[in-house]
Amino acid sequence: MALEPIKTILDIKGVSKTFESGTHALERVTLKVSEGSFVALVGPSGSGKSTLLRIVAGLLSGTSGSIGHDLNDDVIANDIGFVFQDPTLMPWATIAENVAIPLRLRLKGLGNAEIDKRTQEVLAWVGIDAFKNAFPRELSGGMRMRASIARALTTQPSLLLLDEPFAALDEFTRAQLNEDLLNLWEDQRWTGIFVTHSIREAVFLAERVVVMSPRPGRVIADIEIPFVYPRTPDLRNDHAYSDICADISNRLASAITDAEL
Amino acid sequence: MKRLTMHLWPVVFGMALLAAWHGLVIFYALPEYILPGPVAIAQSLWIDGPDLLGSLIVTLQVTLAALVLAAFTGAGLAILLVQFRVLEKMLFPYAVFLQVTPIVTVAPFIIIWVDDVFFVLLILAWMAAVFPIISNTLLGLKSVDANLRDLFRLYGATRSQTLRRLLLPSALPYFLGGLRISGGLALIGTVVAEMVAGTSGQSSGLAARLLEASYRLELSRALACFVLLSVTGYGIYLVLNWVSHRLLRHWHESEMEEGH
Ligand SMILES: Nc1ncnc2c1ncn2[C@@H]1O[C@H](COP(=O)(O)OP(=O)(O)OP(=O)(O)O)[C@@H](O)[C@H]1O
Ligand SMILES: [Mg+2]
Repeated sequence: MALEPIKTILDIKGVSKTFESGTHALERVTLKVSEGSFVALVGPSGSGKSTLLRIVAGLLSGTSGSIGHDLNDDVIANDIGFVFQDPTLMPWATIAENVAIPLRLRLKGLGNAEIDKRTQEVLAWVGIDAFKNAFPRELSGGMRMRASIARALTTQPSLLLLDEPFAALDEFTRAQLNEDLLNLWEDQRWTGIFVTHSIREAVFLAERVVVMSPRPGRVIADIEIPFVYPRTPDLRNDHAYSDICADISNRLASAITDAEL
Repeated sequence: MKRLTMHLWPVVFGMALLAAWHGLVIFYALPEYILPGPVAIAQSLWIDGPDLLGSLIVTLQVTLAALVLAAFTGAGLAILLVQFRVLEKMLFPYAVFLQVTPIVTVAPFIIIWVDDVFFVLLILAWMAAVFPIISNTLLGLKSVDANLRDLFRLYGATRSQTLRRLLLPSALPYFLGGLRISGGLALIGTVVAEMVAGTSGQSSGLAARLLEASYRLELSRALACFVLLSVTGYGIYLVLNWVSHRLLRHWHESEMEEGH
């Protein structure tokens, strides 16, 4: 196998953020993410994970530091997909219309036929094409989350930011969505940054788990997860898997104790 | 079956009330100029009905015109105010004045300044109806889901896209709530305006006819006017409810059918 230099798609350099309210959310966060990788971000509540994602997406600006993108510079938003903790669907629009909204907002030249075709395709990826004419209220929480992921993928972004997308789902649905998300990633190889409170979820999904400290958030550990893809549910019973989870859990716990002292 | 009996209760109550009223009038042998019974009113409705219908149409025209005008100006103003917050600070207090000023006190001036009676009534009814639409729509425009806002920003939505695809649909349930309140207020405004404007004759509205009949102590006729006005008010309410249901039934909590 030829060794290609791995391209860095996102270069976060010493990003700090203090809100106007005085809340110091992030303290010199530095993180390089290489193209096509899957990174999970864990940390205690309030450690600034959401804030970091919002800064990366350009929805918020950092107080200092810089964000280097190697994205389609023309239209950065085309190249970033964002999945919120809540499905955040427009209740007045059908699932298909919800999923098509990035195309309508972004690519104004696109004709209806093209939009329909693309929407159809994305809905099939996440397995909800049967619900395209349903309204969000008519779907279960898991299905709504699938729609939300589909929407983030419609512009075929290079970078997908996911902020605790499965936090509100039951255990079974969550495991199912984990696997489906991984399959999509293996097929499409976008770069994923996945925020979660669940260490087990982080280790199951990611190639790398980045641990953040309590507020103000800093990166306190960056751990490679050695398991090969495709990962199957069996992994969850693996000893090595449990050991890594326990290790991360300990680091997190001691960071929290340190902060409290 | 249970549904049917539920709908029957108001009817039963109404019947009981009418019977009691009828009994009272018979028992005390009340003359028409004090209190006519339901039968006399029904007779008056039957005989004067066709004549009063013309007046009802006059009243209804003003009411509906005022409501439509209030809907457009109210929603338009709310959209304008939300786009430019300075404007909101500047103008909203005056919108409140519009609401708290009793329109009877404004009527004499409008009558002096405006010649055409129709426009006098229209202006007064509009004043009575517009505020709930402004304030409700404004509230709706401000209650947009914060994440959806971020989503629109992320995809670089233009001002007009955000307005059309996000703000307006979010505000629709609130606007319709305002419209339902304003429907009743537009009728009240028209009625008050008619009474103050003091027109008479067949080409005048139903409230003016009511006043005219009561001056002549034709209470059956006056009450017939009253019944027609009440029924009209209720009709407006039902129509607006139906419109609201049609527009929101797929997605808004307030209009979801039970069992969903
Ligand atoms: N817009 C804002 N204005 C002021 N403070 C904010 C704002 N957004 C977030 N914060 C504060 O910044 C800190 C970090 O918030 P953030 O939401 O990024 O944490 P998080 O790691 O995502 O937490 P959680 O795991 O609970 O989602 C918190 O103390 C929060 O209250
Ligand atoms: Mg968060």
